[in-house]
Amino acid sequence: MKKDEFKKLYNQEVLKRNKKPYNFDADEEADVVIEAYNPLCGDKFNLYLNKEDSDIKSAHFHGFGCALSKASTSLLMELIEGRNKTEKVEKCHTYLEAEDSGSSKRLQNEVQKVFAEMKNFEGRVDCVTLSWKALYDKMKNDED
Amino acid sequence: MKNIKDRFPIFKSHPDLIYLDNAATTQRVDKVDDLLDEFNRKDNATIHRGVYELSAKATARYEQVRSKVAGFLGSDNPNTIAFTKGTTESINVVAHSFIKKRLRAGDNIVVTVMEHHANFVPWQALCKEMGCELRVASLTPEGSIDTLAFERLVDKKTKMVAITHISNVLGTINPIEQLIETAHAQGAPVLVDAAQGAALYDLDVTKLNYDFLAFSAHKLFGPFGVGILYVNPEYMGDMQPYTLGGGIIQSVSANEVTFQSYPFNLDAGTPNVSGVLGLGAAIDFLNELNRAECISHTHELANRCVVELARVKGIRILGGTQMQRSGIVSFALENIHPHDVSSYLNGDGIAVRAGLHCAQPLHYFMKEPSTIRISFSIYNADNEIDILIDSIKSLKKFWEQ
Ligand SMILES: Cc1ncc(COP(=O)(O)O)c(C=O)c1O
Repeated sequence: MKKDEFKKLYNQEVLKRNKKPYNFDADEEADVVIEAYNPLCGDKFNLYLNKEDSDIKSAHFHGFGCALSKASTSLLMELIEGRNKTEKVEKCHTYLEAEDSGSSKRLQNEVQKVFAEMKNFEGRVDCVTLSWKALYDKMKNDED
Repeated sequence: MKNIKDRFPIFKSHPDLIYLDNAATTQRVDKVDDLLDEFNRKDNATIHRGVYELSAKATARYEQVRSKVAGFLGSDNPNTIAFTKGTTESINVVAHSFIKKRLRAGDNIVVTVMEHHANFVPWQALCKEMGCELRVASLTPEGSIDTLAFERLVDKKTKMVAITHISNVLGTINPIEQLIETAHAQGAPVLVDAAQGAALYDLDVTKLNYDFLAFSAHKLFGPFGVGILYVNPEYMGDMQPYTLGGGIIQSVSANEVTFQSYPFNLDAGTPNVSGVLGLGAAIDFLNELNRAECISHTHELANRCVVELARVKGIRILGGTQMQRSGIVSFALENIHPHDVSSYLNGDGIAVRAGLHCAQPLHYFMKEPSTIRISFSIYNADNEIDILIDSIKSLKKFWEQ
């Protein structure tokens, strides 16, 4: 990765969220705690979700990871708070699909589009999908 | 160390590359490349199979490398040396082909908390399987083995002591001579993981008296996929085959099999002939070097790197200034994750390693979730430290904007 590419990847949306992540604290009382862990690099976040009926009342996270995984987890928390389960699954699904295909067409959120672009940076996709995958897998398993 | 860089073809393809990941793998020296190329084009044949000329020649050369490696370790018995896939396999061979049948429930194996997973997990798994205790020696806050604590761990129930010569994260050079003495006083055999030290440091068996030694050709400017295992003649008779198949058989019938003896009982299947010959060329290169000069070169680079890094605000360097350090320096930067650091440095042509370096127990012990590792070799130069430090400073500026 060249320097200008680095600066494109570590853009304002990433740096902003890395510095001031959304709801970055450990909510030990949470209804659901999901671990997002990448054993290859050691990045590990806990996602703390509080539910009200089937809605996510609050979403917090805490842990250790690179700027990309931290910022993308922060974005995930911003986007799922106040959503119900179906919306949440759908959100994760379209996002992961976008990361998979490299096409951000189906994404409505502008910031999410920025993250989907990261597909083009070799070796860093795992960072921006870490927590999304963990949440998606957990929700899917719960359905079974 | 002038002109040594010219011996490494990679730097012709990447003239601006600042390669600081030598603890992971070193670059390949021209001699090794030339030999592999020539063997592949002109001499390719497998060993111990055909009586035709090419095979006979390959066999002779392969066996010559065994002698060469033995000589490199100060042994005059070539049959102390077995070839494996790497340090990892050499250690697993000792765990399964030697120590397993000696273990009884209640015995223990002693390792240190600074071990690479390769010299930790095989012992941990074996202890679990056999109902034995894995005793993990602790470190001083400086990052050296706490030798008094180590002494207390080794007792009559200790069936193996497995220690690294040099930590692949801290760079600590362990006093293995002393540790080996401690182990032997209790009758415990010692395996030394020499992956990080074998290239430059003197590991003469007649001085150090280890029982097993493991290292990899790819960390000595040689090829991938070749490992070395040294076994003390006293234990050679106890070494059982590791993988079963052809190439290690004395005789086999429908009901019975007998095997050749060590080291020929470890060569099951077609061995990595070209790789072993490449290892031979790498050892020839090491024998050409003034290794003492190489060691002081890498130590000076690492020491200066520590001094320069320590001036950068918000940096934490693993290990202290008092410990014996090889060419390895690991650190963490406040508020910037190691992967982000290595991605940025890469933009300046600097190759470093970020993460846990296959040493999670050590990272837990040091309370660092992840680190950046700089590791120097003979072709690195002083000005590369300047470029590294400038790059770290400019990253900090970019990050804090
Ligand atoms: C201290 C140490 N032990 C063991 C190993 C494993 O070596 P290999 O991957 O060649 O088997 C390494 C290399 O990463 C190492 O640094």
